[in-house]
Amino acid sequence: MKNLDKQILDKIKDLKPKAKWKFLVKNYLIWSLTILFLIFSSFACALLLYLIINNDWEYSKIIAGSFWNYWVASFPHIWFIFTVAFLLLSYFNFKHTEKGYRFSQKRVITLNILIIFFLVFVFCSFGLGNVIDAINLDQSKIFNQRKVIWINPEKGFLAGEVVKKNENNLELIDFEGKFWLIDITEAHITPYTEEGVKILGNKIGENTFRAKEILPWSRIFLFEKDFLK
Amino acid sequence: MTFREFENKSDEEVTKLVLGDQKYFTILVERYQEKLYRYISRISNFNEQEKEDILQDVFVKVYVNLNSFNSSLKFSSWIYRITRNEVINNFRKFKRRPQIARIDPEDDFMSRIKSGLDLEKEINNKVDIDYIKKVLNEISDKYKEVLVLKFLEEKDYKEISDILKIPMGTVATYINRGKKELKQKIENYEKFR
Repeated sequence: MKNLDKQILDKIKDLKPKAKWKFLVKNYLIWSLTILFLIFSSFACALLLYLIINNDWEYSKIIAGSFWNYWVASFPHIWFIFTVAFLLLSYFNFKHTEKGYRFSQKRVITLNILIIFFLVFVFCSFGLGNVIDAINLDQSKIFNQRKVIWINPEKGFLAGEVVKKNENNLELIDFEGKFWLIDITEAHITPYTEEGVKILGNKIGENTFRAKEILPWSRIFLFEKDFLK
Repeated sequence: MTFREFENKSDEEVTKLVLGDQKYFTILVERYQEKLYRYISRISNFNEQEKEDILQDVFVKVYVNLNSFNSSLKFSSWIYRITRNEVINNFRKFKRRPQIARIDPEDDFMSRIKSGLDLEKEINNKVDIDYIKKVLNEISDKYKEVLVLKFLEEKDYKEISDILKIPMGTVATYINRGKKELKQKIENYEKFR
């Protein structure tokens, strides 16, 4: 092999080392994305847990015939996909940090999952409810299968906001904006808030429905602030 | 220009000098060109001109990216990493596969691999270097890479981890599996010889 000193020095003669700040910015960017994706994953995981816990498990047989069918129909796939996708993005970014390669896959994923659970706890304790309201989660068809299940009057399921109530009837606007007059003479009513109700019963006319059971739409989330007090 | 007075300076100290004055880069070139040329020869079968071109590109990259060198690494690990990446880029460019093309008789490779693989009995003098080279080329690329760094370049686990950018545990696993595969092939050779 010939001595390459001269050729190499000739090649670098007009070059300069890249500035240190460029490498620092790149590192900070990779770290920021790692953390950001981890936060997104935790958010998605918190919503996933919220939806699973708040699912109407006790009506699974009535709604879908069996617990398993109901699980498949109502599982919040989209939030599960977001949780895993953001977790993987966070993992791949971490692996591209300067020293990320030194940690084994198992260790990084385990640590990520622990951080996610910690953040889930934090989110749920301080303001997950606001997030749910902000993205209108409980009323969203895309992000919550529950609405698809409960706006189904032909099958005996109806949900929406109560606009007026008297001894025999409820006036209800369902989550798709349709007006309903609900006969509650034979209904068992569980106290509900202004957020809405879900009703089990029968459709008896174009805009009329006979209720057997009236329940609040939303439930208390296990980790919510009140629970912690 | 002579750099005798810098002989005692570590690579890391020299990199700081290079950032102040380009001429000191010669020290690093002098220190590493032969080692890296040998490493490129060991992991590829490029011709001489191609190898020299790769080597020049490696040094240009080292110089341009000198500010990204992190002192938590050994400089040698960093420059080997850049060399390996450059070789891989050229594999892609020329659509070739990693291949062990050179084991020098003066490398003392045979005794290292004999003791490293606990193959004192299996490898007698009749198993020649050409055969070992052939067998090494038959094992999986990932194992081959770590065995070359361990037995030919004499790098420790931490250095191999930093060069290949894999965890140390994975290095240990690859070395064990590679040794097992190599041992099996050599034993088969002895059986059917």
